[in-house]
Amino acid sequence: MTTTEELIKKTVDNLVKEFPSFLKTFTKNQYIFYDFNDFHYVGIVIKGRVIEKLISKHGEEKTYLNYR
Amino acid sequence: MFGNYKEIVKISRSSFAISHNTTQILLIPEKIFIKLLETREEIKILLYHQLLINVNKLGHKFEVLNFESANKRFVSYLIRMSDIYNSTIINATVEEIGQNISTTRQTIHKMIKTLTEINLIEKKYSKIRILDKEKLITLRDNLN
Repeated sequence: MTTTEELIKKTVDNLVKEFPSFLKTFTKNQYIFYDFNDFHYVGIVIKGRVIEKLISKHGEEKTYLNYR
Repeated sequence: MFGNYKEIVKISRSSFAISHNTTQILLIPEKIFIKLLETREEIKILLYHQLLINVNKLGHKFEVLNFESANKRFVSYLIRMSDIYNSTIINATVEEIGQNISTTRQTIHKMIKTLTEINLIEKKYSKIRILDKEKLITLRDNLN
């Protein structure tokens, strides 16, 4: 593991310890909304994988980026 | 990292994500995340690191516009993902790879079959394991 990766891992580990109530578990194919009404979230994937979706002007769903 | 950091990077983002499998996520309210960014250097590094990964992925998408063959795009994709995540395992379905390199699932299936037969990769479910990266790089350099 490189120094940067170690630092990132340590930072994420510390965030989990600091904010345990923000840690959520999602089962397969569950929708994770992070931008609606007045609620805006930043998600940090601890374990598993998510696929971020882009909604076009015509309401079409497109895969944007994958996160692990 | 994903989600609503458009206020920080000023890029319009999508509005939801889908868990691919059982997934644990630290969902931090944006206001708290911004405060962390203002006060903690390591959080800035975390964000910069994520943005660099995104730029790298987008760079690959631009390369796709370079009119390379689908086979070369697929091999390049495997190498790039391996470099980004510093792993020989690529977590992606055939459909996702198809969207990333703008080709059909059939073409990807054919390439997976070919590369598996010559022992360069192996595929299990939605994971592709690179067995010999050096040879894969050589193959990429020799493809049109």
